[in-house]
Amino acid sequence: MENKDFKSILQNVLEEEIPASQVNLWAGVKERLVTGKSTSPQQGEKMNSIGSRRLQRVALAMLMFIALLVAVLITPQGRAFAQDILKFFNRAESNAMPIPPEQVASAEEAQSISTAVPPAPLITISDAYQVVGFNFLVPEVPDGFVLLGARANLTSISIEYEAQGGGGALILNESLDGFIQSEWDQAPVEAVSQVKIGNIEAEIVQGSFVVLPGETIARWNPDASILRLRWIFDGVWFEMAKFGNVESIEYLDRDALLGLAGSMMNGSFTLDIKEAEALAGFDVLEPTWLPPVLFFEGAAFEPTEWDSPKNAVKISYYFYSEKLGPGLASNGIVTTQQPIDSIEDCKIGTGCLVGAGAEVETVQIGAMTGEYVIGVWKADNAGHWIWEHEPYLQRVRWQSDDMAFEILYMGPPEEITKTDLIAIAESMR
Amino acid sequence: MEDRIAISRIKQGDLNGLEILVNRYQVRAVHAAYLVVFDRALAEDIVQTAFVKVAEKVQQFDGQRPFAPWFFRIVVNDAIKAAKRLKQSISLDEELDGPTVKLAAQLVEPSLQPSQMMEEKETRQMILNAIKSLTPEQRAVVVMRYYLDMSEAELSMKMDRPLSTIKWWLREARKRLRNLIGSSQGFEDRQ
Repeated sequence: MENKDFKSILQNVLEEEIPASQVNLWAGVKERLVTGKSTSPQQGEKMNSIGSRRLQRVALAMLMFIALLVAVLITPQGRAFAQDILKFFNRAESNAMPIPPEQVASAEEAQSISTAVPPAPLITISDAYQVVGFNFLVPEVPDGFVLLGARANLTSISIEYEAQGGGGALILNESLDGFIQSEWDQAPVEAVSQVKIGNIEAEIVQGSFVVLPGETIARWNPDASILRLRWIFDGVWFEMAKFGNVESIEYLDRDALLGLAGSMMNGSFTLDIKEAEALAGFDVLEPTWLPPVLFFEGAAFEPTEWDSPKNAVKISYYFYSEKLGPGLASNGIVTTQQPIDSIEDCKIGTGCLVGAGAEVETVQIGAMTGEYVIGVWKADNAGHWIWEHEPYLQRVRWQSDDMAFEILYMGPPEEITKTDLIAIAESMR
Repeated sequence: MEDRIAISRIKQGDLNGLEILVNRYQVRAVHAAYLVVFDRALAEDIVQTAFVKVAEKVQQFDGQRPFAPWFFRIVVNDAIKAAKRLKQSISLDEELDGPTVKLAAQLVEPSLQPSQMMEEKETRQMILNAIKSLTPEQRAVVVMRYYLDMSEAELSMKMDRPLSTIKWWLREARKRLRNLIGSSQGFEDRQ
């Protein structure tokens, strides 16, 4: 079925289900704005129940806040608590933690479990979408890992990766319930570092409390190969924990873990150029000429995605034309630049690889030689990747000194041409 | 009035600007949300809330940028969240009627022509059931890909997900529909 046929059918179906003439939301929107209500009470039982739940949540949150405020204002303990409330890791008072002998065995087992793991069987990510009651994020499988699956319940998901060949793991926990703050999840103050994932506050800890055989005191070992990163975003509590340090995952150090979290959280272009340069550690080139239909959206730093550039900066320019209207706004160009020692290091796209059927054209970009190609890798129904001649996707790639560049244009081919792309490339300095 | 002038008015506290945007986008937005949540009242609630968000967050919006993609992104994301709360989908164990299965076949095998489909009235329910059988994210991707005419690359940008994730979701959607066909084959054999 052609897309336009399907769209036409959908439009007819929708007009039948919800006639346009019956959609009139303005009165409700206005009422909400005027009254400050989050839901409109006139729109049926379902909405009332949702509004009621929201009100209950708001009321509960207010009560908790008031109780917290009272505790903070009245007691010294409260004031101390206030200092901790925005911290993601509880601080241990000491680097040693006495434990009763009878708990030593279980404590040793507990060391390998970082935080909340839903008591559920391992299922596929696809099945997890049926179980989890919030919009969880799934990062790309990092280099050196294989995806095992997920353990999920309504309010939490734990996505598990195993190091190829064993000997390590990466576990991503996402939960609406907060972090499990057991004594084993604590860390000494000096072990906790404040970091940022884009603009999101986070904390990272290297090390773990460990119990040596025969001892009844758990001691903090800063060299234990457990690296935990915690942050909160949009009401979801995230923990990304790496266990082990076998060769295949050795690269995933503190910075790389931050990069992996960043790539998951920062799928859009939210950085300005200076922020991207600070993350990447190199000067980012920007086009000094753009067709009048392209506008700066933002930059992104992508350090570790398996099929995307490593240590690369992307800048997005969205497409807007009065003539064509706003419908093409998510079209545009994305420039990518990545430091490389040789062209074999290029990770732009799929290792700079194009399909055998791609028509690659050599082009001149000022004094440099580059390549121009139309098309994209697409997955067929069987999951095989096939190079497809897609006129809506044009690319120019070139290398200058120790930097690989790509300009990808997504949009109507008649609006921005090969000549335009080359002119943009020539203006990058 | 252009969107950006309407936005500019909202920024100045003039609700007439918002009314213009509501009248311009409410139908398409409600339809898109409905295809994800399959509940008219909830779809309208989501879109109303999205417009309220527009008013509340308008100062963060760059008036030079097009409004519609930003707005539809809010609507679709909220619809996904709502759909997940509803847990509304057809189980693979559930028997589907023949027309639904044929539509699923068309989504999976684009070479089939619409003329091979059954009566229009049947088509209506069947197409909704076929979409309803997907997970909320898959529905959103299918709606945006096939209803809002977005490319996979656009979806990647709009849903803040890598292109490979979008491809995976579409592949999963197709796979699920293929599974529906498989389960219905047995159903048809039993007729």
